[in-house]
Amino acid sequence: MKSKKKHINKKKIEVLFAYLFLLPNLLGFLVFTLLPVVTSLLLSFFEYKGLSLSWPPNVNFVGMENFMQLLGFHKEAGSIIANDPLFWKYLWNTIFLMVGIPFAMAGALILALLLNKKQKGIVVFRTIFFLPTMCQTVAVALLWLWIYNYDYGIINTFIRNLGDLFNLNLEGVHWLSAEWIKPSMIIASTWTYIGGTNMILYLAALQNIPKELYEAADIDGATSLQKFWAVTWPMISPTTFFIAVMSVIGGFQGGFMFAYIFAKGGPHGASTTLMYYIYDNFFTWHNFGYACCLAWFMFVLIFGATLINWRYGGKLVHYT
Amino acid sequence: MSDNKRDLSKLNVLNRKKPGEKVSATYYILLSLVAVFMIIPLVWMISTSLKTPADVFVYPPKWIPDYNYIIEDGNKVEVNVINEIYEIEYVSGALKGTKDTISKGSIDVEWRRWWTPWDKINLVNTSKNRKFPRWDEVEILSGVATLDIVSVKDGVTHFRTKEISIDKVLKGVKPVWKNYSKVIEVMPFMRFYWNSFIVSLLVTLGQVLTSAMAAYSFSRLNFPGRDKLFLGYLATMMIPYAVVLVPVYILMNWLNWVDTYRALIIPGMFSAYGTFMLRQFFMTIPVDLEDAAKIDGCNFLRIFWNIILPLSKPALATLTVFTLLGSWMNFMWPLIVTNSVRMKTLPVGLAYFQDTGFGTQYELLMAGAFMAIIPLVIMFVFTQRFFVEGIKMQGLKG
Repeated sequence: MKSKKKHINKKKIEVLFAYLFLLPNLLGFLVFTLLPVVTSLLLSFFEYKGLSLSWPPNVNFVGMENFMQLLGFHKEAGSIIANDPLFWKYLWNTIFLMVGIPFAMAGALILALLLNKKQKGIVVFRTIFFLPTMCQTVAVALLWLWIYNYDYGIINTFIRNLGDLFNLNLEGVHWLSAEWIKPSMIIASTWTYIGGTNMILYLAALQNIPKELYEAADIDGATSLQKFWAVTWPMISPTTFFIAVMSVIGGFQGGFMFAYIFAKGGPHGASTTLMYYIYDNFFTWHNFGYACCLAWFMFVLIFGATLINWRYGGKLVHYT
Repeated sequence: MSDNKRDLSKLNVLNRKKPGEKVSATYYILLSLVAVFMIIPLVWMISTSLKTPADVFVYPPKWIPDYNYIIEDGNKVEVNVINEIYEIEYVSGALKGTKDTISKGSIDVEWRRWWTPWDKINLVNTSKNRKFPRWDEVEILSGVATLDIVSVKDGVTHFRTKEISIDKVLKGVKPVWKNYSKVIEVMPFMRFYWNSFIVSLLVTLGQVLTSAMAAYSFSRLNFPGRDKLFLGYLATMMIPYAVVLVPVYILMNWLNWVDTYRALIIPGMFSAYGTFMLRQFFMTIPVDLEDAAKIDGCNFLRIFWNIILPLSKPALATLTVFTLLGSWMNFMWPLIVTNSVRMKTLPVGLAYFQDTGFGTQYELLMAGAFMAIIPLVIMFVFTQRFFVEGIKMQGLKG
């Protein structure tokens, strides 16, 4: 009888303790995640404009109007025009920037393969490859802004010198012009992240491949290339899949910082991504309802893309 | 080439007992090429940050900040070269054999691309309408420089102009360290450092601590509604940051927290992802250890502090690395939530620096950028293992 009571007391203490430990995180979760998520969903059905965030807020229920404005089309002078043509342009920009993902992944893999040898001085190279990841990204963006300078930047200098070498009149590229700024952003961010977390993840995956597999391939007389496709590639496929999924998720939300530093989303919206458009709607134009609506659409995109990745990409993964 | 490689791999099989693999010189060349590619932009940043404003806009670009001087009465006297006039002879092309004089200034404006003084001058031959311009090589016979000599004597600044043979004008290395002090002068850079430091530190500490505590609760303690609550955490992990951006900002405004440390730090101190990751790791720690401790009379706090946390170092390192990097690099939230200059963090401060009329003063921008880069880079060099292991751990989970 007495021991049972003691047991119940212990149980009570455990529950009390559990809640006590959970409390700070739960409070933060409720106030800064759950409540905002619900509010954001509600706000996307409201028109909430106004320069001052006065209380009580000045909101109008508009139903699906925000979503109609975002995704709808209308007829104008005989042709079909999007209600928000800017949105489609910026969506295209965002997807264009994601073209860089496979290149960045291939680059990270190549660097990891180079580093995956027990050689002298390999740690020095790893440190150097990793350096740009540790650099303050805004500082990196400013650096690339200067590198891309048309008249005095080092890339155009290099191009001109190359042209002189082959008697060609190469003038260089207007890297920050409307047609080139997206490739410029891809190059700059690839340089920044190529030797970073993804390379380390690949390196860890490569080091986990059992040596016996390579020895067996050696005995069969496989070439380096055959070994790569038959052993390495399937063995690291879970990592490739993980990086691809994370990169796509990041890609839909990306591009803000480089676009902000390079050209404030310009020239003529050429570098404005979805994330930048949300920022503009929210912070520049105080169009809060529409910004929330955009953010939720972004969520749908990410969710859909991840689902497709799992459904189709997951099949290509080789699990041991 | 491929035969060679095959031979090498066979050799590897035979020499398997020896540690380390045999690699070719091409391997090291390849590694070095990548390393150069990673390093050059950073060298360019440092180089630019040590130049005078005039030297920043010089074509072709200089890698080493230098200055001109002449030796006068055994002393080095710094000089400005105003004009350079060369006597030249064409050694190729239609004008071969003829002599001419050209000044650097005129070339500089029109054809600066082909200007390579000190050995030969390439000039565009525009006399014939060719698809690609051809240029003739010329040889320098002699050159005269007009110099501006500035000297301070008895508190009075004297200007002298002088003509001198170009060979007598020498170049010395002279980094302009003043750029760095100027950046600190025009921008409250130390304040940016402090803001970034304190925000990153508290966000990381807060996130690791609250996540670990909640993860302990979720993984080790029984309480009603535990699994449903955890499912709620999981459900929100897919939701992008942009979704909560507006409501959290409205909340900050409502609480009057905009432009304070509270707005920069407190919303970042909680993470569903961190809780999830640590919970998964805590689940792998054997329960037997705790049971033994319980029999010894340890309470939950001591189990958490003395058993769970020390055994979870790799997972804690992962969360610390990612939170620290994320918080240090975070740009959008501090941009939105700070108004006054003195509340800005390093990245936002740098962007502000660029926006406030220094956008084309690249020597100052690069000095500021270098200063923003250096703390974390130094920290990384000394705690590499921590960072690398922290990242690796994340991959094993994924």
